[in-house]
Amino acid sequence: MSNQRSAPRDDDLLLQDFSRNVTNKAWALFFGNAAIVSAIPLWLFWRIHQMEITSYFIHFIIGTAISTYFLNSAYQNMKFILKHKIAQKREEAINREITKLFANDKNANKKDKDDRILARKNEVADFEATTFSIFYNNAFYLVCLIVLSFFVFKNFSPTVNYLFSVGLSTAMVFLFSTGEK
Amino acid sequence: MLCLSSIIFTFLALLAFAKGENCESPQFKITSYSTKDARLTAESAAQVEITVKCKNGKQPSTLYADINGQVVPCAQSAGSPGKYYLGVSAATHKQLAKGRTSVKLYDDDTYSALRKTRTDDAAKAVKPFGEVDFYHPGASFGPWLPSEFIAVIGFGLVWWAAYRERSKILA
Repeated sequence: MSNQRSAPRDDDLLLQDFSRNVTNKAWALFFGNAAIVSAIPLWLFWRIHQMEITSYFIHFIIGTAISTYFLNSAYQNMKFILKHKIAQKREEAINREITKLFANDKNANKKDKDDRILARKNEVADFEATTFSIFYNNAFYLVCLIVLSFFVFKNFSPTVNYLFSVGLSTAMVFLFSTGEK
Repeated sequence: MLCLSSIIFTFLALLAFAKGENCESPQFKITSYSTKDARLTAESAAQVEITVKCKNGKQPSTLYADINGQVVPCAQSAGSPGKYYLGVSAATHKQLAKGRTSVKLYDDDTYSALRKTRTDDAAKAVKPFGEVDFYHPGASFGPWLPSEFIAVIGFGLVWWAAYRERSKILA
């Protein structure tokens, strides 16, 4: 009986561990960050390249929307790749933590302890992969944006500068987010 | 006797009248603007607005300013009585001295007294109508490195640190 009840729970944990799907909370975090980071170039192009919002709002909306979508995907891709590696690296420390927690509990059995370790490992790896994915992709996106906008497309018109800087930065971030090296 | 006293009385009246025409106890307020950007300009200039308030409400008809040894008349605006304008220009940025520059002001009477002097010592002895300071912060060429270069270096370092950390995780 207890084996039948615990099996679906193990399956759920394994599915969650190996799935590309993110929770609603993680999705909201990714989307919010992607939207904010995609909106940063608007201020740059409005104030420094003198692109008035009232004249270029269509370009800005399209650029921000596309950038938000692909940044969101890049966050998810990188999170999936990093999560397993982080779980492996943190396994030993989590084992020690849970073992210390269960040291004084005589009633606990090995199964409960293993479940707890698995859940904790999943939780830690998920959180660390999420935050690192956001941090890395944001840093890479902003470096690409500044280099493209102020050095490569410096002498082009502001419209071309905006569309190509944002588009190419987003494309590069998305492309490199799938890499495992 | 009557004639003498009337002459004395007339003279005193004229003296009082003449004194009443002059500005008494003047107070000065300075607003100035000077060239700040040396990269986009070749010469420096400064514009000084001097507001004079007199105790008796009279304004000097003309104000003269002694700046860097040269005495020049100040411009006035018909719509703003009590405001006098002084313009200073320099062929190079270094010629317009950075920091506080003292400007001696003369009204008609003190300027006449100054014009009558023959020596420098005598000229220095003439008490000016007033003295004001205007401040020139200096013309700057801006930062040595362009701001976008500093931004790229800063963000690049952050990205490099993140890349190294990622490589460690994926190793």
